[in-house]
Amino acid sequence: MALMLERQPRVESAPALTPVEKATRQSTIIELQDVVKSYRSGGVEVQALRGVSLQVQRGEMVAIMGASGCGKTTLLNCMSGLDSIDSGVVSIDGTDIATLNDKKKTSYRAQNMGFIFQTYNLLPVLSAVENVELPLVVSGTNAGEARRRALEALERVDLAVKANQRPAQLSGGQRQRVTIARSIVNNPAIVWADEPTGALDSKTANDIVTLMETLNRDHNQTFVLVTHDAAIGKRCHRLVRMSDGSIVSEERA
Amino acid sequence: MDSLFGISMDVIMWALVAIFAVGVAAVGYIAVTNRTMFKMGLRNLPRRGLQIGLVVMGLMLATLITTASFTTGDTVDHSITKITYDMLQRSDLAINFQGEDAAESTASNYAPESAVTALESEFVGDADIDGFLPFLQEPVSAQNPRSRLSEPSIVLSGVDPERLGRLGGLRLVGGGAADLSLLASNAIFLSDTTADDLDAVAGDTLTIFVGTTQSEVTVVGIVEDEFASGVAGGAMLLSSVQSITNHPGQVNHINIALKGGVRGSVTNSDAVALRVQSFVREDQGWSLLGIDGAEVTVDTIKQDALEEAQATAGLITSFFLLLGLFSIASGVMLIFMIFVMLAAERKAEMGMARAVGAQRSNLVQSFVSEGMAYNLIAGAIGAALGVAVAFILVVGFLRWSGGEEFAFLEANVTMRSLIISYCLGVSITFVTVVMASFKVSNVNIVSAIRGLDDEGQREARRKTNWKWVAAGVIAMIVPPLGIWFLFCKGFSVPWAWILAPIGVAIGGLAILGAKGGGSMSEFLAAFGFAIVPLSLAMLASYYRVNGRVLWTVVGAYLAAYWLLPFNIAEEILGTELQGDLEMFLLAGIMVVLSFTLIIIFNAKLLTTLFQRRSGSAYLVPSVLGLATLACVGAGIAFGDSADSVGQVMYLFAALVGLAAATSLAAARVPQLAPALKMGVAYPLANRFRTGMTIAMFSLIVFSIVTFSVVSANFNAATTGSSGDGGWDVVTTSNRNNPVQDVPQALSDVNAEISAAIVDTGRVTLFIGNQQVRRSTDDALDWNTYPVIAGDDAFFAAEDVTLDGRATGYETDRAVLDAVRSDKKFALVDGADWGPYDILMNPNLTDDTFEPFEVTIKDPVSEKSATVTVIGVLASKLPGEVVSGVYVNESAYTEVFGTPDFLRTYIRLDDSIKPVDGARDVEAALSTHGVQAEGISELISESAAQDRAFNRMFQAFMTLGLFVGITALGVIAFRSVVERRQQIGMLRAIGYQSSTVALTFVLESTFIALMGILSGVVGGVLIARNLFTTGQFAGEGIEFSLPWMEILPFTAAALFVSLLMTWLPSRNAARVPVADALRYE
Repeated sequence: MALMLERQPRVESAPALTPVEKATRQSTIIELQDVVKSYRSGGVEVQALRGVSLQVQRGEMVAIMGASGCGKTTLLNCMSGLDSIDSGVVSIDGTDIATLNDKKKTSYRAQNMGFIFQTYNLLPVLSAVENVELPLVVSGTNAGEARRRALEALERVDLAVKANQRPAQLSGGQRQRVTIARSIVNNPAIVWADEPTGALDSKTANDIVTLMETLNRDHNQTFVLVTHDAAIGKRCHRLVRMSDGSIVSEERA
Repeated sequence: MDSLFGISMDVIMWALVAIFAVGVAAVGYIAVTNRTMFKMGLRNLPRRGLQIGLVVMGLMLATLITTASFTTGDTVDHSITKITYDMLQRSDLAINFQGEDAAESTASNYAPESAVTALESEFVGDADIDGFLPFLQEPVSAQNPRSRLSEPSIVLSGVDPERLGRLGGLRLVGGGAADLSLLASNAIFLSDTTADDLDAVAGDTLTIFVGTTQSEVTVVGIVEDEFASGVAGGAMLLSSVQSITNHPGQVNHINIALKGGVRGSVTNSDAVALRVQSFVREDQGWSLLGIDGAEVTVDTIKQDALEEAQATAGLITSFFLLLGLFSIASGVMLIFMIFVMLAAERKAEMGMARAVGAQRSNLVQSFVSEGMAYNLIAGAIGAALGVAVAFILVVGFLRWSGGEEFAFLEANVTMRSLIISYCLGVSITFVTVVMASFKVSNVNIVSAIRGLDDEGQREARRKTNWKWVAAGVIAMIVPPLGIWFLFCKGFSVPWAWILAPIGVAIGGLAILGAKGGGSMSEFLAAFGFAIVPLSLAMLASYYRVNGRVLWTVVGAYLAAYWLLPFNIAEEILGTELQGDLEMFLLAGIMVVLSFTLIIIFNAKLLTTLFQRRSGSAYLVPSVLGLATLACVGAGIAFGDSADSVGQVMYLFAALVGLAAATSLAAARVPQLAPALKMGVAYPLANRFRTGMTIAMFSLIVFSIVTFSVVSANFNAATTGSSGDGGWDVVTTSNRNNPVQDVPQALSDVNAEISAAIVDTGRVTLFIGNQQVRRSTDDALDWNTYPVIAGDDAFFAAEDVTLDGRATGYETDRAVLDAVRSDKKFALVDGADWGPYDILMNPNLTDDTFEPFEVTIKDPVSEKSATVTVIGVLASKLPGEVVSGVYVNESAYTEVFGTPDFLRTYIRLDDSIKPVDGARDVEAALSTHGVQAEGISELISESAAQDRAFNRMFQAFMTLGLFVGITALGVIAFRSVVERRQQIGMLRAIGYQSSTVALTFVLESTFIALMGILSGVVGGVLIARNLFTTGQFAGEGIEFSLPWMEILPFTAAALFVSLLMTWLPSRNAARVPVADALRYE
C-alpha cells in the first residue's frame, strides 16, 4: 500500500525562518513513486518493497520504523541509490537516480549524500581524521584542505581531540561520532542513517540523536533514519512505519 | 642416485616414510578419538570455493620443488648411465697403457695383437671374464665423393669380428645386429654421427686420407655410435685399419668384457681389474704388451662412468635442493600465513567453540585434520607438477637452449625419488601446519566472539605450575621441548625472556667460535653478529620500546653489516674469516630480513609522496625527478670506475624515478590518490602478513638477481673480443696426418685463404702423460697436465695479453719475451676450475703475483725440468683448448723431445670473417685432417653452454616466485571477503567501483613491488660486494649489472603478481553495495 505524504512544516525546535528561507527550505528533496523491489533469498523471491511512495522535504528529519524484515533498510538503500529498484521512480532533488549508471550514481552520492551505519563501518587501518576525510579525498580535494575540513567536522561532533586515534581505540559512541563527522564532512544535502544507535547504550544513543538533531537544525541537512527505537522516532519530524514492504502509517512530531 | 649429502637414499626414504606415517597416524588418531573435531576440520574444505585452489597451490610448492630436484637428479643419472651402457656395451675394463689420462691423450702407445691371445690364455678359466676385445683406433680424414662432404677427423676402429661378434657385435641404426661377416678388407660400418656428417649411406665409397696415402672403403651399414664403432667414425677389420694407418700387428686398446651382459656386469669390476693389473704389471705381462717402462693400469671404465653418473646426479640434486631452500623457506612462510588467515576467518567460530567447552587442543586437532587433508592432495599434485617441471627444465629447456651438448638427456624419475619427494614435502607442510595450528588456536574467547582485536591484550602472569616444571626437567633431553615446558609452561616466563637470552648465548658462542677460525668461521661470525641484536630487540619489544625505532635500527644495522663493502666481523675480530655456499643462504635471509623490517615500519612515509598538498601538487614529483637526475648524473660521472659505484647509482636512479613517476601520477590523476592511500594503509595495518609476503618475494628475487648478476659477470668475462690473443682461427691436425706448417700447406694447395693470413703462432697439443707439480713441495702428487710448447711467433704475437704477471716485470711484453727467449720461464693459462687453478692457486692480487717454480716431467723418460711461472695467459678459450703450462720450444725439447706443433693460431686480415676463414682453411686442408675453428665461435659456444645451465638454474629458482604470487592471491581473496562491508561503505560514500578495484590492485602492487625492489637492491649490492671486495675480487672481472636481464625479470614478476590479484580485485569492484552493508 502506498501512502502519499504532504509537505510538512519544520519541527518546533527549529529557529524562526524568514518567508524566503521557508520557501527555499521546504522544497521536496526526496520523492519516491511506486517503488517496487524484490530479491531472491534461498531460492525464494521476496517482495521487499511493494509500491512504496514517499516524499521528504529539504531539512526534514524522517525516521523509518518497523519490524525486522519489513523492508526499511531496503527502502533506505533504494532511496540512497545503494540498491537498484525493479520499478517506480526515486527522485533526489529532481534527479531520477534509478536512471543513472553506476559511475554517475556513485559520484552523485559522493557529492550529495552522507551515510551513518549501525556498525560504524570505519576503516580500522585509518585514524579518525583519515576516516573522516575519505569522502573529500575521493572527490579530489587536496590533502591539506581535506584535513582542515575533516578536523572541522570532528570539531562539530566534539571529537577533535581523538582525531589521530584509530577506531579500535575509540568507544562505540565515539566511533559513531566519527561516522557522523564523515557523513557531514562534504556538506551533503541528505544524510542516511541505518540504525545509527543500534549498537549503543541508551545514554550514548541519546547523545548521538541530539547531535544529529543539532546538525539537522543548524545546517538544514535532511536526515533519513532507520531505527527500531520508538523514542528516537518520536524525536524526528516525521515517523514512517513500515510493514511487509509497505508504508502503513506516518506520525508527525 | 644412491646417496645424497652422503646419506643412503634408502635410509632417507624410510626415515621420511616414517615421519609421514607418524603424521598420518596422528590425524588417524584424531579421527578415531575426536570425530567431531576431525569432521569440523574436513567440512571446512569445501567452504572456500576458488580459494581452495590457492591453498592447495601454497601447500604443494615445497613438494613441487623437492620433486623437481630429485627428478632432475634421476634424469641426469639415467641419461649418463644410459649413454655409458650405449657407448661401452660389453667393454667393462680397459687395459690402459696410454698414460694416466688416456681419454684426453692424443698420442697413442701400441701393443702387439698377440698380447690379446696371451691374455685370453692366461685368464681362460676366470669365472668373471667373458672375453677380451682388442681395438686399433686411429684418427683419419674422410671424404664422401658422392655427397662431396668431408670430415677432417673421424676415428677408424679396427675390430676383430670373431671376438666382437661373440660379445654383442655392433647394433644397426634402426634395430638389429650388424652382420659382421660383411666386413671385408675395404668395408666399413659407419657410425651414425659420421654417416650424418658425411651424408653417407650403405653402398657409398669413402676416401680415407692418412698422410700422403688414400684408401677407398665401402660403407656396408650404419651402426649406433659406440666405442667399437669409434663413436664418431667407423668399424673396420682390425687388419684393414692396421694396414691403412701403418700399424701392422698392433692394437692400442684392449678392453675386457665381464660376465653379466651389458647392464649386469660391473659388480666384480674392482676384483677383476686387480687380478688383471697384477698380471700385466709383472714382467711377463709387460713383455706381452710390449711396452717398455710405461705404466700400465686396468681401469674399471664402465663402473667409473656409472659412479660418475651417480655423483653428478647427486651433485645436481644437492645443488637444486640448496637453490630450492629459498623457495621452500618461502613456502613454509606461506603455509603458516595461509593457516593464520584461515583462522582469522573463523575466529568467531573458534571463540564460540572454546566458549562451549572445546579445549585449545581440540582446535589444534581440527586445524591439523584440515591441514593434513589439504596436504595429502597438495602433495600429490606437487609431486606430479614437480616431475613435469623437471622434465620441462632439464630435458626440454636445456636441450632446446644448450643444443647438441645436452641431446643425451632423457626424462626419468624413480619411484624412490617420488616417495622421498612426496613424504618430504608432506612432512615439511605437516610440521608447519602443526606449528601454525598451535599459534592460531590461541584465541581470546571474548574477543573472538565479539570480533574485537586482540591487540593490546597481554596474558597475565600465572603462577608456577610444578607439574610442567617436573615435565620440563625430564624433557630437557630434547632441549627446545624442555625449555618450553620448564620456563614457558612451568614458570610462566615470557617467550621474550626465554628466546632472547638463548639467542644472545648462541650468538656469543658463534662469535667466539668464529674467532677460532675454520672453514665455517664467516658463517658463525655473521650468524652471531645478527642473532645477538635480534634477540636484544625482541626483549626490548617485550617492554614496549617504540617498535618503529627499534626494528628500523635493527634493520639498518643488519643491512649495513651485509651490504657495506667490507667485512665488519673481520674488522671487529681482527682475523680473516672463511665461508662458502652457506653464506649465500644466510646473506639472503639477513638482507631480506633487514629490508623487510625497514619497509614495514617506515613505508607509511611513502604515502606522503602521493598526497596532494595545497598549492604544490607537483612539488614532490619535481623534487624526486631532480633526485633521479642527480643519481643518473652521478652514475655517468662515476662511469665504470670506483668499484662500480656508477652502476649502483643507476639502480638508485631507477628506484627514485619510480617514486617520482608514481607521485606525478597521483598529482595528475586525482582518483589515484585515495586508492594509493588505501593501497598502502591496508598492508601496513597487518605488518606480520605484509612482512611475510614481502619477505617471500624478496628472498626469491634476491637469490635470482644475485645468481643473474654473478653469472652474467662471469659470462661477460668469458666472452667478448678481448682475451682471444688477437687470433681469429685455431687449427688442429691429427697425429696420423700431421701438418706442422699450416700456411705452407695452404699455399701448397693454392688456397685463396692464404692471402688473408697475417700471422700464425704454433703450439703443441696436450700429450696425456705429461706431469706437473709445484716444485716447493716434494710431497705433492704429480698431476697430469698439459705442457705446451709455443714457437717464437706465438710468444711474439702483439695481441697476446696476460691476466697477471710476476713482480719485477713492468709489462706483459717483458714477460712474453722472457718466456720466448729463456727456457727457465713459463706461462700458465688462466682458465677457471682447471687443475692449475685448483692445485696451484696463483693467488693473484692486483694482477701481480710472486713468481713460483713448477717441475715438468715426462713420466716415461723420467726427464724433468724446473721452470719459473712468471705470467698468467689471458684467454677466454675453453679449457680443453688453452689449458696448460706454456714453455718455449727449447725447454720442451729438453724434457719431451722435439715438439709436434699440431695446433696453429692464425690471425686473418679484415677481408674475411673468422668463421668463414676457419671454414675455408678446413675445406682446403680436409684431406690432411686439419680441423679449423673460429676462435670467437669457440668462445661463444662455450659461453652458450654456461648460459644454458645458468638459465636453467634461474628458471628453477623462479619457481619460488610462485610462492610469493600465491601469497598475494591468498591475501587478495581473503581481503575481499574480510572487507566486504568496508567495500560497501566506500562505495556508499562515493568510491567508484574502479577505484575500489584499483585499491586492491595497488595493495598487491605495493607488497610485490616492495618485495621485488628490496630483493633486487639486496641482490645487486651483495653481488657487487662479491666482485669488489669479496670472494671474486681477485678474478679481475669488471663488475656490471645485466639490466636487460633484471628489468624484464622484475617486470614479468610484477605483471604475474598483478594478474593473480586481478580476479579478487574485480570481485571487490563488483560487490553489491547494499548486500555488502547488511549486517543482520
